[in-house]
Amino acid sequence: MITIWMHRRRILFLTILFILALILSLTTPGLIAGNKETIHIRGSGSTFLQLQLMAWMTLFHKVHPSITIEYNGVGSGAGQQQFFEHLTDFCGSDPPLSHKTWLEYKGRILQLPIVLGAVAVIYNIPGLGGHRLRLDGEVLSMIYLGKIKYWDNSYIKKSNPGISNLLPHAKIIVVHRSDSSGTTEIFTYYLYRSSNGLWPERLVGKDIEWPVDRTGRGLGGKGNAGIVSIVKNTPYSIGYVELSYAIRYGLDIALLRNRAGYYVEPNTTTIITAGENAARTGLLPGSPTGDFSRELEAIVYSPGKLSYPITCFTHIIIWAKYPLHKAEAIGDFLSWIVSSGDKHIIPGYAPLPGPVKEIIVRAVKLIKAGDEPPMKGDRLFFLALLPFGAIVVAIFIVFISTLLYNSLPIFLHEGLMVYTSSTWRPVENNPGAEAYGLLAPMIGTLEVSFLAIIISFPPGLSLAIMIEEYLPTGLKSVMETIIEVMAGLPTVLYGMWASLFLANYLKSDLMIPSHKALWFIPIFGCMPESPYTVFTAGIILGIMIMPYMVGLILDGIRQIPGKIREACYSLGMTKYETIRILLRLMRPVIIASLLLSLGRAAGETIAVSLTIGNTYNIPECLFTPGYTISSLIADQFGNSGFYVYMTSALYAGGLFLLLLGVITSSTGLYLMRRWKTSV
Amino acid sequence: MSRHRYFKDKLFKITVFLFAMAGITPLFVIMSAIVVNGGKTILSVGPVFFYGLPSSPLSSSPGGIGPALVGSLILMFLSIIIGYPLAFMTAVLAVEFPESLLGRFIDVLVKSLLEIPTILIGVLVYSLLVVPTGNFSAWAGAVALAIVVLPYIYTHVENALRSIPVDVRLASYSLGLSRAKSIFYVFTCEAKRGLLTAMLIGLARASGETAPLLFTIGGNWFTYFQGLSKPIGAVPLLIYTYTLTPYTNYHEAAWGASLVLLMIYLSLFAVFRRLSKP
Amino acid sequence: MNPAVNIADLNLWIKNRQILHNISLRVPAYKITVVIGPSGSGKSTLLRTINRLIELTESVRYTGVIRVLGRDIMDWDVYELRRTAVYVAQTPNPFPHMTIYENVAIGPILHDMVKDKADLDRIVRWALEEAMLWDEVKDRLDEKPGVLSGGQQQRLCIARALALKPQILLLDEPTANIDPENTHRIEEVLKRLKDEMTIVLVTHNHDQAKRLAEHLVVIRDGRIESSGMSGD
Repeated sequence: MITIWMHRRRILFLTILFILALILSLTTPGLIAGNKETIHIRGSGSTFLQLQLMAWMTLFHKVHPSITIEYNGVGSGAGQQQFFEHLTDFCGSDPPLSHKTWLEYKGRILQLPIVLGAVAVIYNIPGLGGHRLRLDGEVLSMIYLGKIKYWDNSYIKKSNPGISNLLPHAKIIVVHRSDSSGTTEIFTYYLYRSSNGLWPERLVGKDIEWPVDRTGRGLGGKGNAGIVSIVKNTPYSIGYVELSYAIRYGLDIALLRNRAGYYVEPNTTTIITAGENAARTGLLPGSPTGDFSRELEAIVYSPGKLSYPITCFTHIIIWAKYPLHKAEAIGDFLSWIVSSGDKHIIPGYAPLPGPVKEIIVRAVKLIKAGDEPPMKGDRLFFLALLPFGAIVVAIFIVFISTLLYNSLPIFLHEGLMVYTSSTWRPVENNPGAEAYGLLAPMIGTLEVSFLAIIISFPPGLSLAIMIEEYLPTGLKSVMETIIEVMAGLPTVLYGMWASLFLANYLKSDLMIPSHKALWFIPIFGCMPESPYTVFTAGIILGIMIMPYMVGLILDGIRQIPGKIREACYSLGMTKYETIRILLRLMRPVIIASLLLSLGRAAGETIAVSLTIGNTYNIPECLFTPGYTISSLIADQFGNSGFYVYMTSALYAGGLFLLLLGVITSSTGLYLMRRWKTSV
Repeated sequence: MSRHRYFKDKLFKITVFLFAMAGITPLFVIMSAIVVNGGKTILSVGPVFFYGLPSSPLSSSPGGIGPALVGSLILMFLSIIIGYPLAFMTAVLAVEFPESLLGRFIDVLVKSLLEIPTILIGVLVYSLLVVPTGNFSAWAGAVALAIVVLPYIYTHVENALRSIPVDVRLASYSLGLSRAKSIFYVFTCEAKRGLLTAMLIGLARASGETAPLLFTIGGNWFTYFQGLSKPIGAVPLLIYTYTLTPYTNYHEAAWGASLVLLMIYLSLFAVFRRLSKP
Repeated sequence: MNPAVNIADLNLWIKNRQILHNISLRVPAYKITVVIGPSGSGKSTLLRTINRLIELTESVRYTGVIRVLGRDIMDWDVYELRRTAVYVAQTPNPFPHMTIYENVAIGPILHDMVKDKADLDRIVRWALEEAMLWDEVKDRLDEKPGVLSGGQQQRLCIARALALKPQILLLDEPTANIDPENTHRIEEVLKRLKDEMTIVLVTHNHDQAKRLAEHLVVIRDGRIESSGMSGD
């Protein structure tokens, strides 16, 4: 039984558990049930793709009602991670898989471009009067590097001859993404490719350190939406967002100079042209099994008069093999995208050019239907175990809610008075006159428990010291067995013995003499009338709680590294001096043990109920009878049905006990754990 | 060493030993009180004590504890039937599927059951099982007991499963046995001793618990087992009830019953000890 | 003939430390392949990767393809794979609480390989005979394996593996802790078995490798140093 003490965990959770348990119990049936008729495909990833996929899914679902597809826009990075951890069936990713990742999963995954998108450069310059700003890579680089300060800078004027006199002498507010983002990667990559070396390669990435921030004119925005709102509300600002956002929020979009030297705006034609030209570079693989990691090189700043320079593919990544039903469903979805999805592209995106679309067609053929994923048997076994877990969870939920539910009436009846008053007035047939205060038994509980730990502490500590420091191995195990027997001995035996045997001796040999000697101290101030008093209960509880305390202290002593003991002895210390040092080291453990024992003592019922005298009374003196909460419940619960509110009041008492337990044990276990990690 | 330090050292040792002895003395006093008083009762009543019915408070005979004894055995058995599989399966969940959320969670959850005062468990089972069904029953008592003993059994099953050597695990998996087969055919066989001690600890606990039975089993002192949905008696509850009465002959019976309970507990404990420390 | 095990570009990490580097290996069927290398070279890990026992170790990650009997190991039912390619550990690990008979019988029983007791008796006897242990234990089948010597225990483990009628036997230094007499016997057993199954043996003993190897693979620091048929 000592092992049980050592393995107790924090009760601190008890309260949080309730909420967690609720969530769990709601999800468990879902895990087990799972409708066989409909097929659920789950995906997550790029936020860029989310709007388009949602548009497709609703249409697709009408054609294939048995297939539902779910998609969460969590970002490309998180999407890939969830996919590779098999949490989702597919992921949407703006950038293709890196070469390294592709190598790792080569042959097991299929990567397919699914739609074209573009990054738009947006600006907010009052007074341009409908004229479109023209920019190129070099100017944009200088703006984002912080080298161009004002909108009427000569470089900008040079690119915009028609409106050079309209450009204001105002500081440029440069807006960029503050979170890690594929959009940033594509944008910075464009700067790098198109600026003749002005934008360094080290500043290409999802999340970079923006040089313009150092000039104080840089602003970060979270997500596309963040950038949109900053640019919209900040005059003289410039930023970059996915085209669909720029369109939806009606922002001014700059024309960008492409590789062929033409200024183009992002629209379906210019985006598709960029995609077509990219496919001709030969940098794109022709198969979904290929490596797409050089794809940006092909599509960003691609050749062609009509190519928009910051164009990109967005991808879907799927496994090469799925369980049969899923394989079919995913194939259906992809085929549908190729055949019909194209006609439902939302503004800001563009359909794939023909040759790239072929990749999807090929992917559909490549998806294999395999067995269920490995470890199928284990999964089933796990599911078979779930109900047992659910029972335990249910016990908690039901217990705690019953406790709360049943104690509710008394709170409605008298509010928190139930814990602060000490009237106990059961009245039959007149609920309004009933009044129940738990103050007296609460004080009783604390008195008895404190008395118990005060009594059990000296022998408890001594036993622990003796077992660990003085006894030879053989005797040690004998002593441990004795402690275990004491810990497990039915409590009713302690109670009966105390009630029929010990109580009378206590009264005549201890209580009366101490009263006579110490009558001036209030707690000894009354003459014991009956052998059944708070004092008696405290003594017997102390005896019962002692082995539990020994276990806790022993657990602590055994954590002390041997080297400390060695160090003490090698300094020539006596055993006493050594132990004194060890005890000082163990002070937190001892406090924790006392707290845990206190919690344990407060909940004990039977032995207390047999010895405390069961009288409703605030025990100012130890030699009067009283109640503890638990003995009150044991004594009154049976006939509480005669009254309207008494049962509820007793439940409120139970709630107090539970809270007391939670507080003492969580503090105790916290101290214990903190100490254990410190030695 | 100075005489002063030597003296202090000795004094400390003596103090520690004195306190320690004072700490364990009650156990021996209690046991001998029970053996002497209980023995007196049993000897005076004779074997009827074990199967007889209680006597009237007005008579001078302590009477028997038959129905309570049978009830206790039935309750112990039932609580193990309910509690053991639950403890075993949840322990398997926690030990063999530590990567699952439920696996980690269930461990804390089961162990937290230890913190709920047993009287509360009794009261809650009363309002959940006794009130709706309209009568006290063996079932309600067994469920309450099962919940009380669950964390004890669980801890021992958990230790037993955790102590299965890596070698055995490897051997089992290298024969291509699935987790379920490994657990039920190989690991349970290897951990037999631990699993048995878990059961014994459960039984020992269940034999002595009183508070969970207070409002669940109703207490049948004069009639033997009548069915699982009927009230039933139990030795610890009988001791509790008799102790609270003012009748000497009932007190004598309580001593006798205590001796019986002590014997049940000690024998279970002895087997447990023997198995757990070979 | 198709290789029994075909490993291509295997890289393996345990807790982000790379243990195996670019292992490519074809294990010929019905031959004894000996993998030799100093301890810590990753040969044991390689062996356990073949039947996915390595997954019992925490945080293992690998890339590359392993095909067992032409099928990617990820496509196998993992338990079917492990019983087709049975692993015998370095230290004998019979189930200590089962009798000798039960130790051998448990595999066939749990894999539903037998119809009745007579069938089971036959398999147990066959496996023990194959492992050259029958004569030594036939009178004490009901005793616990604790009564056997280390070498006998190791042969019991081989018998336990054989009872599954595996197609591939993976042996992890089976004679490392065993006296010369028993080592000799185990080697005899293996030589006899190679007509019925493919054997992969890991060892750090050069003499043993010379005695047994038809195909010799040398591993050092997680890389294959050389690999080839011996004797030619």
